[in-house]
Amino acid sequence: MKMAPPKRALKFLRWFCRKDYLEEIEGDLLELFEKQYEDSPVKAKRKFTWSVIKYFRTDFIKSFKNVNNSNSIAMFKNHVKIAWRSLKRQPFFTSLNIFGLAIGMAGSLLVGLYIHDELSFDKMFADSERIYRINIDNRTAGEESHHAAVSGALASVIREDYPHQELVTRFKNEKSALIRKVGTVQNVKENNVVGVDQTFFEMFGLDLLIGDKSTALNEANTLILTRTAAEKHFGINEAVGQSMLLNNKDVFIVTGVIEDLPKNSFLRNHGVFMSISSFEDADNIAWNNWNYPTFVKLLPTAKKADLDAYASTVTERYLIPWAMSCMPGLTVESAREMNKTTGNYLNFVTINLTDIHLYSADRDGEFSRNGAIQNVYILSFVGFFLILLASINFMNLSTAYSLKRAKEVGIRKTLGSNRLGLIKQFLTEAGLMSFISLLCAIVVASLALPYFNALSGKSIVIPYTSFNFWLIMLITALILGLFSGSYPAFLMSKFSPIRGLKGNSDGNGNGKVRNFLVIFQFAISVFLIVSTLVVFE
Amino acid sequence: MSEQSLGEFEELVLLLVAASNHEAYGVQILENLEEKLGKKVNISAVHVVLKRMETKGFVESKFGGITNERGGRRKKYYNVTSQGKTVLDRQFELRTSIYKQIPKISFGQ
Repeated sequence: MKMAPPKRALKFLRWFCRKDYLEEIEGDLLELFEKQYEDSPVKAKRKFTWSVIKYFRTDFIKSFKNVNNSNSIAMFKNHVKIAWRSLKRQPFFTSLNIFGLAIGMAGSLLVGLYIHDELSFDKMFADSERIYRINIDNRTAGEESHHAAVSGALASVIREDYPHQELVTRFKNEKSALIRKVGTVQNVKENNVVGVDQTFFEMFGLDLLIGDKSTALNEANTLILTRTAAEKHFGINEAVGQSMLLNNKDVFIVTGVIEDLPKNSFLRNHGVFMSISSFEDADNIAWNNWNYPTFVKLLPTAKKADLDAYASTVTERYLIPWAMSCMPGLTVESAREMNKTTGNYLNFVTINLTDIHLYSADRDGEFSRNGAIQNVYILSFVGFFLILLASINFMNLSTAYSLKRAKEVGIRKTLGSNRLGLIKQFLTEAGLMSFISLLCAIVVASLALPYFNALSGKSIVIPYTSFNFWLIMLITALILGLFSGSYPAFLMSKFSPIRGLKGNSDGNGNGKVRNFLVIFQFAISVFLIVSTLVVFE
Repeated sequence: MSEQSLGEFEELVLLLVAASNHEAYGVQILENLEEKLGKKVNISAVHVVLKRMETKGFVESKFGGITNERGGRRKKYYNVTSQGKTVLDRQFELRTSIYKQIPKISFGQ
């Protein structure tokens, strides 16, 4: 009977174990195995396998660095060096290619920053994911309308009988007002004046720079200013306690100053916040004037569906009973009946604070102009195709110049380079260009950013200090380099050495692909122009 | 200090290597250990400490000749170096000096 240790265990050991330890370990294992085999073959085998598994630890595993990689690192260094030389040898081609890629990348970068900004709206407010605004969808006499504001009475109703609310706050949009310091004559027109409840600070997690937020908005005829507005009229430190005249008749006392609201918040344009008790209709219980945008913060345990369900009951529980007092004979049932026959409706609906910017385009009484999610999608496509375009341009240029490299390829192959090595060489070259383009693209984008901001009405900055930004940039450059370099690399590495060295290279092989790429390039260009026009419509 | 330190198991193996005088190799050490300790030890544990002590310079090793045993694999013999001996001496002195300080009275009568 032949004693043989378990084959697989032995194979595994040989696979992972350091070569300089292998003979000794194998020998000792075998000796033990043989000794135990006499007692019990099964146990011996089990023991052998178990011991092999126990050897699978860092002390015995082959080092990856020393054995395999020193060579490939050296090759990589060599590739980079050669790539750098060949880029320097063809300055025109290199600069053209890098320029093309950099412009494409810069464009995509700007688009990306724009999209990032669009998606970041109102997320800076604490607990923004559980703050909701109540909207009204209405159809009266066949005419549909959508409102961002509701009756002033809704807030107190929610506060009293909706158990999942943590906080409710109301605004009152005043649009514009003429303001001046008491004692001066020159009015200043403030465009976005708004009334706010005392709960305003708590709802949005805002702090006063100057003033006491527990009392700032308690009294009628008080107001707070943003830093910019305060500086415009008084200077920040002097503002509190001053009197201002609104619309030439009402005197307001300044009770606080808050930091300017972020440019990507729904309150970005607002500078003057009056206490809501300054408005005569603030406590009006009428349900038919919709002037008060109302925000609800839910308890952490509550879900949007709860609020939706509650909102859908408001019409029948509060609005119609109120209407009954002015319209004798109206009942909930008759109102239902009426809506059924006329097709009219009045629904209270909810929207998350962070969705307002992109999903609430055209409501009456919006705070600021909103964006649209469709534009975000279109722009994502534009950004993607922009970079694809640059990449294809890169491929075309590289293949067009590839004949110049035929001799090099010929010599390399003659000297024993294999195809994979050549592919690596060309990919390294493309990667290097891609990284240089990335740097150029960031420069171009930062130069173009002021104009881009002016065009889009945003105040985007490139997040130079963000780790994620650089990570994304580097990964993009790497992927782009590999992708753009792939076709030229596979093509050029295919050259036959004899033809390359003789100098009569075949121009036919890649004609079709290049024609296809050129046509594709034009198609994308047309697509991009059209979609840009659509976005700016 | 960390270069010179010796764990308990390491010390045991090093002692066995020193005691065997050029005859110590993996299985032999293992069997000696099992006999002295009276419990089973896995061969990999022995190899781990041998390799570590070799890097620390406490033991040196060389291959023996080819024989028909062990499927033709050579044995690797270990021997204690002078550095290893010094460490053993120091450990021993340290232990005995502390041991001597144990007052007899601690153990009652």
